[in-house]
This record gives sequence, structure tokens and C-alpha cells, in this order.
Amino acid sequence: MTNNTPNNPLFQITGLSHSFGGLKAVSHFDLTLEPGQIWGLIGPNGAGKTTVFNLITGVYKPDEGSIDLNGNDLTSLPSHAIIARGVSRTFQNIRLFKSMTVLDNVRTAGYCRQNYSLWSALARTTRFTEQEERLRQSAIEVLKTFGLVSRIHELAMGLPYGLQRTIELARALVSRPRVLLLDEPGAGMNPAEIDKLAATILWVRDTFGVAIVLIEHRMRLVMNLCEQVKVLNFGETIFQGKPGDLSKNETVVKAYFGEDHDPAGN
Amino acid sequence: MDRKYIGPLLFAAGMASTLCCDFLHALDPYVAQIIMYIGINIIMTASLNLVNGYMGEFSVGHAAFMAVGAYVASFFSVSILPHGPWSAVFFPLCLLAGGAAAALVGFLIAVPAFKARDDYLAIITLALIMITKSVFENLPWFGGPQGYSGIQKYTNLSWVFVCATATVVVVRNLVNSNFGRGIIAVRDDEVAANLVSVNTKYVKVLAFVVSAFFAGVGGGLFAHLIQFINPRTFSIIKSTDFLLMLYLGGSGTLAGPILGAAIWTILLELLRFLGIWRFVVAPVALIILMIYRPLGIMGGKEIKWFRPHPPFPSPPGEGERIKQ
Repeated sequence: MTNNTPNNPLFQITGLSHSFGGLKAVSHFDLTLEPGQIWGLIGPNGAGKTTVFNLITGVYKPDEGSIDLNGNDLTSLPSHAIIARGVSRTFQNIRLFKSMTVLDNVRTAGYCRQNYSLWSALARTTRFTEQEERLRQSAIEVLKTFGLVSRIHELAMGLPYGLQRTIELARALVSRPRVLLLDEPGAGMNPAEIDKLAATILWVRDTFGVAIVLIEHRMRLVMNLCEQVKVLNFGETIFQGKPGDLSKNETVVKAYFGEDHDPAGN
Repeated sequence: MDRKYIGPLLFAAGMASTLCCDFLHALDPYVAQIIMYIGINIIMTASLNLVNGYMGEFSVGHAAFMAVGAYVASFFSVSILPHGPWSAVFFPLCLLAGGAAAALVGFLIAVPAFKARDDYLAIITLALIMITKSVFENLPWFGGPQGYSGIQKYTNLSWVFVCATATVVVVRNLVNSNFGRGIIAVRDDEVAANLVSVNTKYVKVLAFVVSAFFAGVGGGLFAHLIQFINPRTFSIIKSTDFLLMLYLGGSGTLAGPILGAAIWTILLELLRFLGIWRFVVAPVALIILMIYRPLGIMGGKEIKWFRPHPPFPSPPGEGERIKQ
């Protein structure tokens, strides 16, 4: 299904720009992603990292530039259609549906995979029952792989912070994405949890066959996971390359780590 | 007994008893009247629940949809459909016409209304009430401010029962589907809903239109019960009644609107001996309830019968944590 030739990458962003009033939040952002790749997107606070995610997922409409997934132009689509085409994301601050159980949170993300009509739903036709059952099974399947299956009937917001992050990840995977955007998945975690998270992310990539873009402040995670890193500062891309070369780059060191930096991260 | 037969059996029993009451006049007319009011209030409250409960918006325009339904259904039964001994068989058509007209108005208002949220939606729907009121006061065909009379009493217990059941079943089936999860997701976090592929615009308009449709049907039943309607009947006070019943019973549940509508209607009847003071006593009772049970009688819980059907069994491997 994936169209993986050098001239035809899985996911390609070219010249993406956006301003809020006079402030250039993102300018000329490019990204090319092959299946299974993990890219890191780092930069100081306010650098425009989350804005990039918001532009990709249609929360904001880009002023310029194009976003292309496997030959489909996503630039002018509304958010829900972009997600349905195969881009999923998690959020910097956990945004689970607070009145729903774990299972319903995950099932809600299967919206784009259901195509029964309103009448089907109201009359409870076999089409409805079959699709609902299939969605439920695949939601449980995903939750099972994360070890959450015993808690599927609990309210998602009642679970510990770490599990909530996992549920968000599970929710993002139910729509069968090909590109997964993770917005600070390691926020609020201790180093041991970070290592576990790194293993989970690698495992998600291999199991679900997704390409991943990762926004992260925790260098430990970036160093462990990312093949390539992009550094943003004031909306401009100031570095692109291997994470190992980050600390050798003067501009990055100045912009990101400050004056007395610690390349090891923590 | 298999749980899936309980619903149809209950429906058959209800249908049989309402038909008995209607055709054998087995019930005191006053009691029958109260039961029909309860049924209509259930229709209104359960449909309002879709927008104000499940979707978490605050619409105060339900009386306007009721008015549209009442006027259009009455217009159909009085002026369009044939009169005669069998004219009552056309009554469902009148109700559907009323519902469809209300749904259309719902659609027209939903598109601009959902560009606004919270307080602003309340203001827009408030404006809708005023607009419908003055439209019906000024249109030549409906008797203007004097009101619309000559409506036959077609509403009986059976029709009220059928419509109320249909409303509750439709709301239940809608809520326990993809669309319903989308509607609830909009309530919890609209942006996140959109970003997990829910077509939020669609589900919002859908909830509003379905809600308006049943309000229109309720209006049609109401008009053919009291046989005389005028524009002042459908003021903001009427909307407030339904809001009150909804929050009394507990919004965002299926049982809440049913309980709320029944309790409030009966309470107002029981307090009739207080005369005008019942409109003081009843709200005070409500305030007390809100203090001790702020989420309404149901308190956000659902009674067993209204949970998704078929009941979902526990998943295989329940209880064991799978290692990754």
C-alpha cells in the first residue's frame, strides 16, 4: 500500500509558512518522511513546533506551502479529513474525553473508519452491528497491546497520568495512521519512564508501521529515538541532521541549550 | 428471559394499554390529559437533551421548534388534509410535517448558531424564539395574535406513547453510535474530537436537527391536544420549562429527561391547590434539589435498561494485563 520510492516519499511538507498577525510562527518548513522513520522536532519554547503540528492537522490553515501524504494533497482539507487520510497526533496537554470510558475514548477515534449511514445507526441494521463490533474488537486489540484491557470500562480521566498518555497514543492509532505526530510524549516523566517510553515508541513504529514525528524537550528521548532532527527557533529551521551532531552546531547550542549547556540532556 | 425481548414486550404492553384507554375510555379524562402532557414533555425534554445534555451546548430555543411543529402540523390537519370521519388517520402525516418543518428551521439556525458557543448560542436561540413568535403573530394564515383555533383533538394516549417511545429509542440509538460518540466528544473537547477524525460540524448540525425534529413532533401533539395555540404559548417560559425538566432529571442520560418530565409535570399538578403559589414552591423545591443533587436526579448515571444494547460482554483476557 505504501508507495516507497525515492522520488515519491510517504509524507512531504514543502515551504510551510504561517503567521499570527505580524508574527511569523513558522516559515518555510520542509520535511520529508519515509515509512518507518522517526524524526525529532526540537527547539526552545515558542519556536513554532506545535504550530507545525497544528498546520499539518488542519487546526490552522497554512499561509503558504503544501502537505502531501502518499500523493494526496492534505493542505486544504479540514482536520477530520486529514486524520482520516492517515495522519494522527497526540497532544502536549492530555486531551482525553473526560466523560468517556477508556474504550469509548479509543472508539471515538474510529469515526473515520465507520461508514454506516445515520439510518443504519437508528435502525440498528446488521451493517451497523457488524461495523460497531469490528471497531470494538480493533479498539480492544490496540488497548490489549498496551496492557490496558482490564481498565477499558473505567473513566479515562480517572487513571494515572502515565496511563492517560498511553490511552492517547492508543486513540491515535485506532484510525490506522501512516504518520504519527507525537507532541511531547515524555512531558512529566522521569528518566526511567522516558526509557520505557522510547521502547514503546519504537515498538509502535514496528507494530503499526508508522512514520513518526516527535516534538520533545527531553534530549534523552530524542537521542535514543530519532534518526534525524530538525531544530526550530522563532519559526525558522536552524538545523537539520543527525541528533549526534546537534551539540557540535554553534547556532543550535546558542538557541536551544543556552550558554552553559549540557549535551547529555538531563 | 433474553434481554432483547424485554423492550418490544414492554412496548407491546404499553401500546395495548394506551389503545384500551383511548377506545374504551378506561381512564379518567383528567388523568389521561396529565399522562399525555407527561408524554409530550418527555418528547421535548429527551430531544432537548441531545443538544443540551449530550452535546453540552446551551440552547434555549426549544419552544421555537415546538411552535413551528405545532403551527405546521395544525395547518396540515386544518387546511390541507381532507376532513371526514377518517381524517384522524392522516394525523401521523401532520406530525411528520410539523417535525420536518421544525427540523428545517433547526438546520437553518444550526449553521450560523454553531459558529458561536456557550452564551452566544443561548442568545442566538433566544432570538430565534422572538423571531418565530413575531412571524406567527404576523402571518395571515394562522389567526395572528388571537391564536389558531379549529384544531381537532387528534392527540390521544396511543400517539403520545408511540412518539415518546420513538424519541427515546432514536436518542438512545443515536447516542450509542459513531455519531453519538462524536456528539459527546464535542462536549468534552471539540478540537480534540476534530483531531481524532470526528466530523464535528456534521455531528453538531445532526444533533440540532434531530433535536428540532422531535420538538416539532411534540409541538404537533401539543397543538392537537389543547386544540388552540397562540404565539404567546411558545415563549421563553416554555423553553425554560423543558430546561428545568432536563436539569431536574439529569442531563446527558436517557432516564433523566423521562424522570424529570414526569416528576415536574406531576408536581405542578399536585401543587395545584396552592394556586399561584405553586410557581413559587416548585422552583424552591428545584433549588433545594440542585443544592443536594447538582447533576439532577440521575446524577450522570444511567439505569440498566438504557445502557447500550446488545450488552457488550467483557472482552476476552479481562483482568490479565498483557505484557508488551
